[in-house]
Order: sequence, then C-alpha cells, then structure tokens
Amino acid sequence: MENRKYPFSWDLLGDIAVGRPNLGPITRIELYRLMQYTFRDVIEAKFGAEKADEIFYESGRLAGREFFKNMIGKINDFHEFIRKLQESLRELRLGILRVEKADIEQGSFVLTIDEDLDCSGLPESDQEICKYDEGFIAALMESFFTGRQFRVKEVDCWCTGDRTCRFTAEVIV
Amino acid sequence: MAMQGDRQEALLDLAVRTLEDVISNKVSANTLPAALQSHPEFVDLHEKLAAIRGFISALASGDLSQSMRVKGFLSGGLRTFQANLRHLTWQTQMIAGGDFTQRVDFMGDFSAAFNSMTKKLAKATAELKESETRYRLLAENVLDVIWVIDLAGRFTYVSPSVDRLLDCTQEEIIGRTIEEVLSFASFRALCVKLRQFSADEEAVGQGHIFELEHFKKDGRVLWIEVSVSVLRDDDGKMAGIVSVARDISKRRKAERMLQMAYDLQRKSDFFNDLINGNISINNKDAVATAKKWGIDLTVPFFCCLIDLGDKELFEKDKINHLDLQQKKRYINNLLSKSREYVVWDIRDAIGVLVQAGCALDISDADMRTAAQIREKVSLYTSDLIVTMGVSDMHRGPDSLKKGYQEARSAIISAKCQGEKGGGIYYYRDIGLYQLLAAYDKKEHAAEYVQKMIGPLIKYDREKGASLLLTLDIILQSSSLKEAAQKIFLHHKTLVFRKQRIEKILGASIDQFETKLALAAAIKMHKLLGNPVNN
Repeated sequence: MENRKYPFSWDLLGDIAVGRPNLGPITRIELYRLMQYTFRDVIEAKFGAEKADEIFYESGRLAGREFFKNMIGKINDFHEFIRKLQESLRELRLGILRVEKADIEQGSFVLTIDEDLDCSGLPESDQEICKYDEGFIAALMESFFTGRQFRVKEVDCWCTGDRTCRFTAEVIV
Repeated sequence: MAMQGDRQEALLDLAVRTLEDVISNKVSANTLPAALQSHPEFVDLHEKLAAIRGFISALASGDLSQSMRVKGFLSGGLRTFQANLRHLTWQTQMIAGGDFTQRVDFMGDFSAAFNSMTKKLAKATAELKESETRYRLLAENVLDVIWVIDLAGRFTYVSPSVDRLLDCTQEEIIGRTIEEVLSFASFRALCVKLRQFSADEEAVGQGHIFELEHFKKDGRVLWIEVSVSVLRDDDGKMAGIVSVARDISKRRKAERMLQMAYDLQRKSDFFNDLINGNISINNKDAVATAKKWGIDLTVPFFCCLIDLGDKELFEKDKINHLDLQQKKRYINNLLSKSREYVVWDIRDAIGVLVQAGCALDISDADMRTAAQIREKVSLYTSDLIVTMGVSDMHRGPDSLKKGYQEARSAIISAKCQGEKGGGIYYYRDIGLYQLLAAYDKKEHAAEYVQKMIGPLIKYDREKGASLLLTLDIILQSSSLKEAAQKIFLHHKTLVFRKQRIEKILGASIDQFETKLALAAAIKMHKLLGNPVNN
C-alpha cells in the first residue's frame, strides 16, 4: 500500500525516559484497554467483526515478531525460550505465561496466560476476545521455530467465564 | 387449581431430586425423567451440571486431558485448576529433564514446598555431577585400571587406562567376560573366590588382592595385581565386584629371578658340598636331594664343566669380571629352564649334570646333548671363549665327584695343549692328562718337574733360549726331520740342539722311558700354569 504514514518500527515506541521524565513508563491498564476497545469498536463498525478479528490477529503477529526480535534475543533451546518469555511477560505485566503441553516433534502446544492484559476482568460474553494475543503468540512461535507457520486459537477466555486464557498452537506449515 | 399446584410441586420435587442425583450420587442416572424433558431450560441446566460432574470426575481420577465446553464461573474455575495441574505436569517434566529453573507460584503452600524441593534437587544434582566429574577425572587419569564386573563375570565398566595396560579400548573389554580375558588358572582362582563371596557375604570385607594372568590384545600374558571389593546394590546385596588392576609383570619377573637365584644358590651349595666331600656320599638324603634337584645319581649320568673365557684376563679387568658374573647368571638361568640337565654354579665355572640313557659309554646322543649345551651358551656369550669339558659316563652317588674332576681335567688338558678357541673336550680323549691332571695341585708335582726338566728351564731362562719348547716338539714328533719342519730348523741344527738338551739333562732322549718321563714332566709343567717357551 502506498503513501503509508507509519510503517511500524521499534523506534516508534520512542524514548520513554526522555519523553516522560516525571510520569515514567507505567500507565493504567484502563487506558490501554480504552485505546484497544475503541479501536476495535471503530474497526468493527467500519469493516465488520470478522475483519476486525483479522486485523487484530495480524497486528498481534506484527507485535510478536518485533517483541521477539527486540526483547527476547538470542536463545538456544525451547526451555530457554519459554523461560525468557515467561520472565519478560511477567516483568512487563502483560500476563503470566504457563505451558500445559509442548510436543516439539509434532509441533503441538497448549499455553495459558493468567491475568491477561487484554481480557482479565472483562465482562463475560460468549466470545473469546484475545485475537491480538493469538497473533502475538503465533509470531513468537514462528520466530523461535524459524521456517514454521503456526495457527493459534484461544479456546478458553476470561470473557467466556474462565479464569485463564488458554491457547492452542499447531504447526500448519 | 389444587391439582395443578400438586402437579407443579411434584415436578419441582422431581427436578430437585434429579439435580441432587447429579450432585450427590456416586452413580448418576443416565436419562432424564420424561416429565422433565419437556423443559428445555432444565434440560440445559442438567446437561451443564452433568458435564461439570464428568469433568470433576476425570480430574479426581488424575485425567487432565478432558475438555469441557460449559462456560461460566464454576466451569472456568475448574478449567483454571486443570490448567495449573497441566502446567505443573509440564514443569515437572522440565525438571526431570534437568531444567531446575522451573518455579511454581500459583498453588499456595504447595508452591513453596515444590520450589524448595526443586532447589534441593538442583543442589544435589550439581553436587552429584561435580562428584561424578571428580571421580571420572580420577578414573580416566589414573595409571591403574578400574573395572566393574557383574555377577555373571561380565565387564560393565573399565577405565580408559586399560588402553595403556592391555592395549585394548574400553569398548573392546566392556561386555566381555573374565573367562575370555584371563588365563584358565587365574579364571578358576577368581571364580572360587567369587563363589566364596556369594556364599558368605558377611565375611567378604573389603580389599582382597589377587595376582592374575591377563591376556593382552596380541595374546601375550600380562601379570596384574587386582584389588577386589564387593559392589552392593541398594538392598545391600552383592551385585558384582569393583577392582583396581595394575601391571606387576616387572615385579613378578624380579621375584622369579630372585627365586631362581635362591634355588640356584641352594642347588650349587648342595652339589659343591657333595664334590668337596662336605656331604657324605652314602647319605641317602643326599641322593634324594639330588633327585629333587633333577638328577638321579643311581642311573647313568655325565658331567659337563663350562669354562668361560680366559680367567686371568678377567681377573685383571674388574669390569669384565663383573660382566662375566652377569653372563654366568644368564647362562645358569637359561640352562636351568631345561629339564634334561641340572645346572649349578661353581666359583670359576658352570657345572651341568646330564642324565643319560642306560649305556655306560658316552653315546652320539649324549654328544649331541653336550653340543647343544655349548651352542646355547655360545649364543649368549658370542664375545667369550666357551670351553667345555665332558666326563665319562658314571653311575652311583660316589661318582659325582669323579665326573666333575674328569670334566675339569678335560678343560685343563685343552688349555695345556694351547687350545685357545674353545670347544668341547672329552675326558676319554685327553690321554696322559687323565693321570697328570689329578696331580696339578700336589707339591711333589712341582718337585718332579724340577727334577726332570729343571736344568733345562734354568738354561732357557738364563740364556734366553727355547730348548724346552724344542724338547716338547721332538717328543711330540715321530722323527727329528718332522720336528725340524715343525719349528722351521735345519735338520743338523736340530740335531745339535738335541745333543745340547741331552747334555744339560744328563740323559739320552732316545730311550722310551726317558721320553715318557720327560713328556710327563713337560705336561705337568704346563698343568702348573707355566709356558714352555720364553
């Protein structure tokens, strides 16, 4: 697409220390969610719920790729990958990542995120809402298992009455 | 109205009992009562409760694989619990795989206990690994070989130093049995001990030491000393043996040499005592002892005496003398390996007693035996002159001394006759020396020499002449012409010398008796170690 104004780069996150010398890097979750769900509302209104899910999934993938590149860095094995990811997500208050199943040979995984930034505490509905997380996790897996493509699906969500968000990740290519 | 109220109350009662059945009964009814099936909301509620019941039941039996599509608080809580247990399972698998960084923070007191256990496990594993590394380092660098054998006698471990000891790799030894690598005698000895260990484990103790013959890769035998300790399983039962083995071939060789030297000394003392008359020849014990050393004095035997090199030359040169002693030891050891003869050490020679057949004369076979002995000795002493004297055949314990003297006389005669190249000399061939050699140490031998040829010796000494040599040549020749040719003189010159000799001695040397007496005197003169020419 031509005439793009803000193709993503890590620099767009800015220099927080310089820019927010008094307020610092921390903000309220409500503000994060205010931005996310207003975006979602407008996108859904303009393009429909299905397209909105797709946009959020792809946005999550882009975020996951950049996160892996800039925050995870070089790792040697799957154990180290999970350990580093757990530490990073907890440190950044994004959520508490846990592994229920990891079949590396078959490329089949089940992960959970407790206290998820996007959904924990949201009112219950019949819809899993963490599409952004799905894309984010898929990109992380694809970054680690270079050359593989994953399909990530949220099967349990706070919004459907669960306490934890559970994701399945399967290799498709 | 009353009937409708009663029916609703009954229906409510049925619904309560049905739900109570799902919640409380161990075995729940599979089908919903017909009266309730027409109420969709109740059917939905019942299905949800039944699904939650099934999920709980699976969790209670340890099945974490079940899924439940029911939404809501109750089912969500159960799924979270299931998720935690599944994550805990994964973490435990990671810990089992060696990832001790795993921590649990979602299960209250259990988390603290689990994390404490993981830390202790990490510490114990690190200590074990360090200890294993230390012992591995020790096992891999120690010169001795450490090996472990199971109860079937099969090697289950062997340290890398086996390469240095047996020229084998670890892989070539592990899996083989002790029967395959030990000599039969060693294998049998070790098996006996292992059976004793198995039968009486309490009495086994630690540190049993064996000396075993182990085959090297090329088939050669290596003597090893093995320190054996019993290996026990977790129940304290014997599970095998652990051993430390080292090469003792040099020590064994030194011990064997020492034993051989000791045996040779005892044997030599015995035979020298017998020859010198220190032991009674009638002593039955002496005969028995001789038999023990390998010679039966009651059946035919002959004696060989081996003389190495020029005795005077060796006594002048101390280093060569020591070299000679060392070579004598080698020869003693070499000849002692044969069962065909008995070897003993004499101060300036080596004695050999050879058991012969029934014949009382030296046979061709006996001569071959003597030749073989000299050949063996010569192989070891190519730089020395080997002279061997051989006695006649003898029988009976009183003949040993005689046999020895005969062999000695044969050597003396060879030297008196100027034989300097060594060889084998038989007593039966030395003629007059058979008599004369017996008198070489007697005082009247010198008197006899002085009386018979003293003036001639004196004349030669004073005038620088060689009339004694001339006389010796004349006596050994059949005519004066032959004698003149031997010493490159004109016949008339020799006649003149003969006349001078006869004048000095005051006797004619044409007489047989005079010839014999003078020849004996010259031989005796030689026996006494004197030269016949100036």
